[in-house]
Amino acid sequence: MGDIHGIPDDVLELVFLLLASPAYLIHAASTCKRWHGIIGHARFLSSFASVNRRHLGAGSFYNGRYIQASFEYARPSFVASSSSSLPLVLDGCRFSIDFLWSDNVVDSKLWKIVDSHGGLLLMAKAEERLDPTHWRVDMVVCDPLARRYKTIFPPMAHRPLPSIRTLPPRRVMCVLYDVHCHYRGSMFTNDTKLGGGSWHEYAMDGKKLRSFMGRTRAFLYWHDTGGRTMTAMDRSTAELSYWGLPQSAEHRDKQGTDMKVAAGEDGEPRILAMGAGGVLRVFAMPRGGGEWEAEKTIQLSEVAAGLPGYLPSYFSGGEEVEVWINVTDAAMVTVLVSTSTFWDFLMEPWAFRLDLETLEAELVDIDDGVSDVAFPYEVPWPPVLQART
Amino acid sequence: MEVDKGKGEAEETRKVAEADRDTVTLKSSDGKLFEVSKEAAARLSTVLAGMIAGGSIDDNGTDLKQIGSEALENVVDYCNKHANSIPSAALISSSISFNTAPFKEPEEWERKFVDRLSHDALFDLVEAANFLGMERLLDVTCHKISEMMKGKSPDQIREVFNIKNDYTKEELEEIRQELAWAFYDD
Repeated sequence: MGDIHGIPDDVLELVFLLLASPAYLIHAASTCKRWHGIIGHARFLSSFASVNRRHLGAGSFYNGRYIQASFEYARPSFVASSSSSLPLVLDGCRFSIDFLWSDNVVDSKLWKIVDSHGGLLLMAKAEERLDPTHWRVDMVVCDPLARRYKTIFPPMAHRPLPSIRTLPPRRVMCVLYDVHCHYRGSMFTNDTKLGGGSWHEYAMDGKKLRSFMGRTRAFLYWHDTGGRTMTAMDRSTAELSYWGLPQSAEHRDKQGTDMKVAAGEDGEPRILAMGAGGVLRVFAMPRGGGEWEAEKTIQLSEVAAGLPGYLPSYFSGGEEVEVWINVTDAAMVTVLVSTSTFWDFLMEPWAFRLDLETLEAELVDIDDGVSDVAFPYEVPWPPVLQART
Repeated sequence: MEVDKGKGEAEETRKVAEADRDTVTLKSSDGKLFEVSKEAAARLSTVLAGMIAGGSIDDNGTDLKQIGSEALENVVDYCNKHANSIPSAALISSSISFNTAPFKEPEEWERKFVDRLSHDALFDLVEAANFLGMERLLDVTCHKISEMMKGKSPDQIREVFNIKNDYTKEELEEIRQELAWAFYDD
């Protein structure tokens, strides 16, 4: 009577789901073994993640921006999400990756974060040799919370388009491409039973892949050769699926290099298609699949008109103007504009950040516009909750 | 409609034992009788809806042996308040079953309703809501309990809910180390 111990397990699950924050959930699991048992159940942990996905995010890592004065890049840094309910130390030093620079393996000026997934960061150093077909790329997988990292060497002289898969046993999956845009898949695993410590090529039908469009939490996307379709790779299974492109998109470039994928606020993919005359179209896939549907059409001249340095000629469809978009975060892009003279000099680059939800525009430095990409960090999930009897 | 709550006595109930009443009489484990709108009961409780549809409602008081009078009074009170609040069709399908509709925040009156309850009464009401298949009331009460846990350390949670720590020191330390990101630095 009148006791929390009288409440059945399935009702306690409801209570725990509503905790929303993974930290609060871990606190509850640490109070007693019965609660630990309910919370530690794989089914419950996966329900918790799907209901509270937003709360698993702690913030984002950013690569350092280029510092003109010293010809160097600043160190990567972590910015805590304002909505995070995780117990972060105020300056975010819980997520500091300074331990990486301390023993001379990783030079903060040369290494860049290239991907983040499941509580891990993937960093790469591109060392350009004289022959660009022989890039040597070293990689480091870094676990900021455990303050651990592992250096891994890629299987061949290709340029990586890395992606991390983190289901246990932990694996790093890499999609590599060479200068001829030949894509191959490769996987590195820590598990000795699976031949740990070395790379294995896995079957990947990369023949169709042409250009990388972008990523969401769950998928990587490529534009296919031929221009009418795209390929999506599931980041947890490495399975490929093939999708059509938006039918009504009026492509300025028939090859479709002006199409990008960004995650929306809901984490689902959006196709961003840059059309002639500064028209940015956003397409969403309806729940349950089907065809891409137009979600909004953004007239860049309207959203950017009030910004310092704006010229009407930027978005009037002139031949001498190049407009491209760089996806920097969920529902966030940078629009970069450069005008070229007939000598083909790129001149007066101009950039602004655009929130695709609110359509708020903000002038940014051209360097920031290129480098200001967020690598969202989620706590490792499911957490290690071993059965304790 | 003003509903007699708490002091419902057997003789009083008999007087209104006409065949087509728009209320049902519920009997708590300790024998107290409560009247509740039939429409609200059927709408808010899958179990009562089933009993009404199946004709297993007893005009002299349907026995709910698992529910004490205090909890039943709160159940009836909730049903009546719900019937009187702005009808919101959305609420009925808002239960947080796994992977389906998202949970809807309690409305102001629902918040007040659970806030005034003692811990004991709240836990009893959760059990009653669960027993009667009252999804919305279950959501609202579970939400209240989760609010009582949020932002608290394991020690504080144990204190609030009177939970015995059945871990050894070593086990606790292990959890803390494995899941260090979830804990504040003390």
